[in-house]
Amino acid sequence: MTEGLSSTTEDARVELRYELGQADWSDAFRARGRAHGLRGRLRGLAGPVFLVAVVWLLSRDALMAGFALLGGLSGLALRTRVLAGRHARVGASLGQWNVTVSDSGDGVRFGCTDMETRRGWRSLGGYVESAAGFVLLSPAPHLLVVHYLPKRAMGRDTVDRLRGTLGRHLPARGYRPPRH
Amino acid sequence: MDEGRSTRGVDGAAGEEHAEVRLTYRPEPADTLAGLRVRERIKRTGLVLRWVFLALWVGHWLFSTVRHGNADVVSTVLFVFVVLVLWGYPRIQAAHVQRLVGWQGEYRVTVSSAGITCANDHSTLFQQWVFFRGYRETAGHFVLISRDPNIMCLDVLPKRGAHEAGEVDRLRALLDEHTARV
Repeated sequence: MTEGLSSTTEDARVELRYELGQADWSDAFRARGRAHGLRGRLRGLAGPVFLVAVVWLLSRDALMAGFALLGGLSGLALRTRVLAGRHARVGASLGQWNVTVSDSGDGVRFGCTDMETRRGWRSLGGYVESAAGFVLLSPAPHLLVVHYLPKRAMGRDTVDRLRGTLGRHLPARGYRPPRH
Repeated sequence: MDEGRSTRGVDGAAGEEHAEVRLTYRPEPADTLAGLRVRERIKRTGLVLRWVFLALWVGHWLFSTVRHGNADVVSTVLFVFVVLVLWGYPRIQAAHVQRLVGWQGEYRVTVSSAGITCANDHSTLFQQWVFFRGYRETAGHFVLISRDPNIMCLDVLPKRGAHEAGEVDRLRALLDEHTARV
């Protein structure tokens, strides 16, 4: 895992190299959940509530409805883990990520052995910072996880520089002060 | 990217001369729907689960109707709702994807011996051939599927994006040369 810094008057760049595992993706999806705020979390409960309503209408049995609620809530809790696991499995075959975050219109470039992506700043909808990393998000209202930049791949100075660069171009969503 | 790789990359600087096909198009929900259908048929799990789910609901509705001697209103309404959800879910997914990609305007895809480069005014994506497990051709699209077991990535190349005569045939030849039909 390495990092590189380069800076000119026009363009400050942060370059990172790292691999992403299940813990990273779990952190990314949990942080993304914060970006949606209370309204998003309530919307996420719509599925279990609907499930309970269906079971109640069909069975008229409070115990069955209770089990359905428990099942629905367990499904919600497991969802992040399942998503993270899928991304980690895909990521494992892709290998090491090379990421460049640039102040220029180039925005963010991330690539691995088989692919490379450039995302201009306008194609991103914000970022969320967690204790362990930065999550780049797609434009609102979806705010999907675009990529994850783990802090373990950078020193504290680079964390601050990266936060500065992201803050200049993207809104911070669901911001939580980082723990060092 | 990797040293010594003869690729195009997101900068579009091809290392050597390659035969290539260019497509330009604006994404439509039908493109995503075509991709989702191909993925569903290849993975099969989702398709099987959907039919099993529907069969269970049909069984429940029939059992309830036979037992009571007439169709229960709640059961019938829920059954119709389930049918609508099963029919509409891929369309909702396609509409969702359209909201994500539609605002980015025209897509310019270059398919070459190096791989596939997809660019618009806001982003560029380059994928080497090794990224894909294979492709399937439908009436209006070529759908490329990623090699991971869950097929997390689909590239849908609509034939309407080819604007020159014979370009679809050249694209098919390029795909056959670099990846497998699945």
